[in-house]
Amino acid sequence: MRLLLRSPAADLDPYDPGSEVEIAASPDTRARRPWEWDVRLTHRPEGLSRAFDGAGLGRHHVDVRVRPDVIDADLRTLDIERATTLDRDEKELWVLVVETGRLRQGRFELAPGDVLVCEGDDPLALDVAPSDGGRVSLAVVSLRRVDGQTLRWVP
Amino acid sequence: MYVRNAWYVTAWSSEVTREPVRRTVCEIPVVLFRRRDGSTVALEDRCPHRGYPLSAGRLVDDAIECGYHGFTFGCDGVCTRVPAQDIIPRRTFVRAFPVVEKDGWIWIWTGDKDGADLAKVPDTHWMTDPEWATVTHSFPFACRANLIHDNLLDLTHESFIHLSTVGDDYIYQHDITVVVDGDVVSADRLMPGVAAPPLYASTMGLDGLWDRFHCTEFHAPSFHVLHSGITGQGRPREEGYLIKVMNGITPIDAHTSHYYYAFSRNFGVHDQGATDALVEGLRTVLQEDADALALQEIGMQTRPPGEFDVLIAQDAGVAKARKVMQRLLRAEQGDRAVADLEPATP
Repeated sequence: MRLLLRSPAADLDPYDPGSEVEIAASPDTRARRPWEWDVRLTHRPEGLSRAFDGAGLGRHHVDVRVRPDVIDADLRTLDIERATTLDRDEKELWVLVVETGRLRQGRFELAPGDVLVCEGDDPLALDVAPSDGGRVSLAVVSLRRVDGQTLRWVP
Repeated sequence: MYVRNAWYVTAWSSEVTREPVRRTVCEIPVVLFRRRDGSTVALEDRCPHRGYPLSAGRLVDDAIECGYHGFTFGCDGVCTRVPAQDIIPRRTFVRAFPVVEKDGWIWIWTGDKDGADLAKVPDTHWMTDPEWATVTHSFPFACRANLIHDNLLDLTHESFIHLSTVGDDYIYQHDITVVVDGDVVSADRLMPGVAAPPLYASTMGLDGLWDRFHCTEFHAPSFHVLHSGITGQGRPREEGYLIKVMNGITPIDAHTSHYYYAFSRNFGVHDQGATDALVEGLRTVLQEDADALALQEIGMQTRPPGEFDVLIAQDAGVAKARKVMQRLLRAEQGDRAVADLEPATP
């Protein structure tokens, strides 16, 4: 399953330091299950994070919080300069955030600030390319279960 | 419970004449009629005198006269005459709704009049485009509107509910891409290298394998455009046999809805036989949905408190749409408006 969020940072209040936008979380109804992880856009990072600036969205952070006894996370950046395939393990959930440039993925074009979440077994191979011949900078969050089971998620 | 600052389909253009007609939108009674110049008026269907429905009255020029005691109201809802006396009491007015009539649909805005935003009326141009042929239906559904939204955002039900028309096993075997862009949630599915489903195969006279696709585009809170079709394997969607299914889902009350349905195609546009077949085939599809959702509504009403939906990956569009609806309700009416709603995810 792919979930494409168009410019979710537009919902951040630039004047409220406590403003945040949830990209993905498990669960997001905390009353019913213990919290395990979330990926947010925020002005106040608390976990593994990366700062974003520009694209008309103001300075904010992609922030990843996890229960370390349940979830492993890493956050890396990729520079995409030509068509390439990003291979995801079926047991992982990925959150890709376009920092700069415009990215073509299948029939979709992602602009700076757009977020793509990939989960499950379709697709495992993400064919991506700069859509305007330029360079695309991506932040990639990878989440996986410590117990080796597949990380499943329903938005 | 209802997003108020929004446009809702209230009637087809063909249903509104110089005879008043009554509709209920989000528990609001509405009377519709046409002025002499043909433009549409929508007023609250309740005389402020003693609650009689204005729709049971008559038109006098461009005004509507209550059938009980003759109170008369202009198109702006202002009372212009009380037959039994000269003085018109100050509270003698009815609410007048902003109205848009476009492409054969009549929409009303149920919220703050000053906020009525014409840009939010969804695109339905296929209805009047000569390159497209359109079939329409109207169906009452004995279920809450949210069940219809869920139904349209998760089309895997076609494999089970619509076996004789649009259903095939391969639908649920293909995953989806959900796109969220403001108040629009889309659930897109590509099914490459498959046979055309029965309804399309018979209508289009097709055999062989095709790339099939459908994308439900939900314009919260009430309207879906289902972009559907088949195209040659590996070919762009735009080259194929295209279908646009427009779905105006208007809540009547907490447990009933009205479904305004339009199916536009860009093939066999002048084929009357195809049109006739589609009228019957699509009526079957809608009746199957109506029957299924009526049963689901009973299930929802009898479900114990504290028991919630168990959503799966194919429900991703459903889950995101629920979140958008909750956001709209919360922004408009505060946290209490969403306190009793089904949580978006398990």
